[in-house]
Amino acid sequence: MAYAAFSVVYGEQPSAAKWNILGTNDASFNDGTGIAALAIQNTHLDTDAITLGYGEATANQGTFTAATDLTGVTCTIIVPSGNTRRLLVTLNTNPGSSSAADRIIVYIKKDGSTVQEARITVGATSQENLICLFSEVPAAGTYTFKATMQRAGGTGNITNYASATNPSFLLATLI
Amino acid sequence: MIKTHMDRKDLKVTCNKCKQSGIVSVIKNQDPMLKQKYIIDWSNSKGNNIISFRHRLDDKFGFECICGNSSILARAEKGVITENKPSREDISEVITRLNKEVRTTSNKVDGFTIEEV
Repeated sequence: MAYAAFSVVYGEQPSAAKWNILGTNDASFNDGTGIAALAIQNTHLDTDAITLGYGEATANQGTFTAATDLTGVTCTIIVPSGNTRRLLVTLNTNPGSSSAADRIIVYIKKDGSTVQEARITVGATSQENLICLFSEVPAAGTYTFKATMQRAGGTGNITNYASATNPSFLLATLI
Repeated sequence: MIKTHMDRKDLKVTCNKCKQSGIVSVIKNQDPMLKQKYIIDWSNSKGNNIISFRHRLDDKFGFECICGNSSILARAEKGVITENKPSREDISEVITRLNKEVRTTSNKVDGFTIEEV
């Protein structure tokens, strides 16, 4: 079914066949076939149609060496029923160490279990940008994602650097 | 009550664009409660190509075919008659335009051939 233009003028006496054009148009809006290409604008989308969750930290956290959850870098999402779209979780962090050549690992955890990890070797007292991405097609439900960081090798103390202009964040989007 | 037996006209309407024909019954309205001078009886129509009817201000019958061809509005009504009830000025404008047109009695009206059957 496709959309068909419909109009009447004063004094016109349409038949049932013409009135049914409205019904066909209705059905085409219901199944989507009557919606023109490029007609849906971003303002038509609800806020959570794409962005399911976001959490950030704007202050340094540390020092630490063992696995530590990054405060604020977490979000709880609700995946709608019947979902067929792919979830993309983006984690942005800026770790540094007090010792050169330390290896740092960051995890994305879903409901407490690691689903993705990324590693980096840092220079002394410098901070590095460490990004970790996770993707899946989730079933409907509620899930909590969080970021955990730890020293994977070396002897230094770890800091996750963050500020208002350099936040660490976890962004969950349905794409 | 509409008196149908005396003032019914069965018309064969052929769309000159897609060449499909349909039979429709148009009834002269004698019910003072109804404003339309002519009413179409869709229940008595044959064929399914004619999907709309209108008695135009030039006193001719306008039709719309399923193929999109339409004579619902007379040339003189276009741009004046809309979905709203026409004002006195609107009707005067149409009459002025009609008076400038050459009147014909042809059974071919704006893309449709209308024959009494």
